[in-house]
Amino acid sequence: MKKIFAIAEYTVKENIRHKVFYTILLFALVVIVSSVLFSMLSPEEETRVILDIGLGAIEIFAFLSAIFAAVGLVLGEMENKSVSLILTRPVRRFEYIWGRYSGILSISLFNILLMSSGLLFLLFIKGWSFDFRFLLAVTFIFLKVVIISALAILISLISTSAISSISVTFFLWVLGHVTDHLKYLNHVLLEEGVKITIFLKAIYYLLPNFQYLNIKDYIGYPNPLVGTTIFWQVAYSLAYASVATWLSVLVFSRKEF
Amino acid sequence: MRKQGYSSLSGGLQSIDRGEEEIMKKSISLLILILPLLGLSIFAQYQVERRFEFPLPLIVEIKPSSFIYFWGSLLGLRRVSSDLAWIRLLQYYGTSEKEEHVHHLDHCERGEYEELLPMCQEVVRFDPYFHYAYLFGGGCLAFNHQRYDEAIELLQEGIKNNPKFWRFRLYIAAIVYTKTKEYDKVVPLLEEAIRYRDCPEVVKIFLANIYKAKGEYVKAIAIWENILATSRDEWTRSAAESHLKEMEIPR
Repeated sequence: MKKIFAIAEYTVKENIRHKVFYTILLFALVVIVSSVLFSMLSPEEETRVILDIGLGAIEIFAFLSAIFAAVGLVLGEMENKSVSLILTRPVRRFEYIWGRYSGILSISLFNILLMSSGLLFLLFIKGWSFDFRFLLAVTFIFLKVVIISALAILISLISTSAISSISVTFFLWVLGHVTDHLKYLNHVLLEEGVKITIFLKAIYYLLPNFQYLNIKDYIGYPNPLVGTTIFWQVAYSLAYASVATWLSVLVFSRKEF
Repeated sequence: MRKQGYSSLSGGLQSIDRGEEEIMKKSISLLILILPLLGLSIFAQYQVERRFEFPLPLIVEIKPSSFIYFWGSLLGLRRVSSDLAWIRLLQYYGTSEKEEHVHHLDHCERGEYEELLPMCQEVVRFDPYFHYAYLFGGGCLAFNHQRYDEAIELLQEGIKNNPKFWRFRLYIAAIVYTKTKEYDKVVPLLEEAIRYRDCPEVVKIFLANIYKAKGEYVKAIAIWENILATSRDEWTRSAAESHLKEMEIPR
């Protein structure tokens, strides 16, 4: 556990030293502040526009910082062989992967909290009355990042270049938001007489499902989420991320440096 | 010598085999750990779906008019897409179709705005819980352009998506009475509607005009004064000022 913590700490420090980290964070804060300009175009729904653009910016930039960290640090370290230096020490491979993953999540959590505080500050200035669903939306953004970071590490271990792993991760992010369309596709194919239900169901359950976690998109839905649903959503995210991370350990343990 | 060489080679090969065997054992033990976790993730997803029906339409059902909205939806930013479509709608409705830079005309005099209904529908299809968009669109279509059926169509979509939001029903009743010119029945409904903060200005203006037509200037002036004090739209404020000036003589 100590070793995982040490690698996580090292990942955080390394990430903080990266220019990309500050660029993303600065750009996110600029977008959040510029949401005020958009809100001016819709004076009656000012806080709604700030809230939506702000939450959207938090998610997109948390996602970007997570994939750049996952791909840049893990793949970069393998490419320049500096991973061998770490592995010559008494660090087991699963400790390295879990340490890296924990570090990426820590930095993502820090990013999300910082951006959320900025957004809350803006909203309060505009006279927004606090809504508990804001916290839920931010928590679920983090859960999405928990999943995508694990997948980004796995993909960066499998792929050979940074561009391909970023592209595949981005593709999974998009697919994760339209998984319901697989059900629709199945329905259309069944009408055409094509029976691949089992295959589509397998893909449906294997792909990350971000739709249900995307509370910020249905924050106005009148039937709020109940405790048990939230519990299962959290359980899903943690279980899915664990599967991806242990798969990363499996791939990493078979690699030779 | 040769024998010694063979034995060291076979020893090396054996150690490689042992290493591979160890990796294999590790892999199997990892798979034993991963499979139940995968089962848990599938079970948890199934539990979520059983308890909660995804409350947004499919993107293929929305048929986004712009590439930006389409990508917004793909990236899980449907509310942002809805807001952008909403801002585009406001800009469309805020620009005169006849003469640019003519501010003193009413919206109904500034153009037909044929695209108003489809644009409103696009906004509420990205976010079916955007109450204000239904109220605004319904109000503008009915009270500014006398397109009552289009207004009712939009508000009925609102009722379908938000059955508990009773104000849509109130608006529909007011629109039906306006269509049949039963203004005595419209007034109490609109008086109820303007009590709420999310009442669009178009409804307040319509009620003020009914009061004015009926000669109830005190009530009309009260509404215009309220609009003047609360409106953030320059055009609406200048319209309020001119109406207030106009009513000073009969008052």
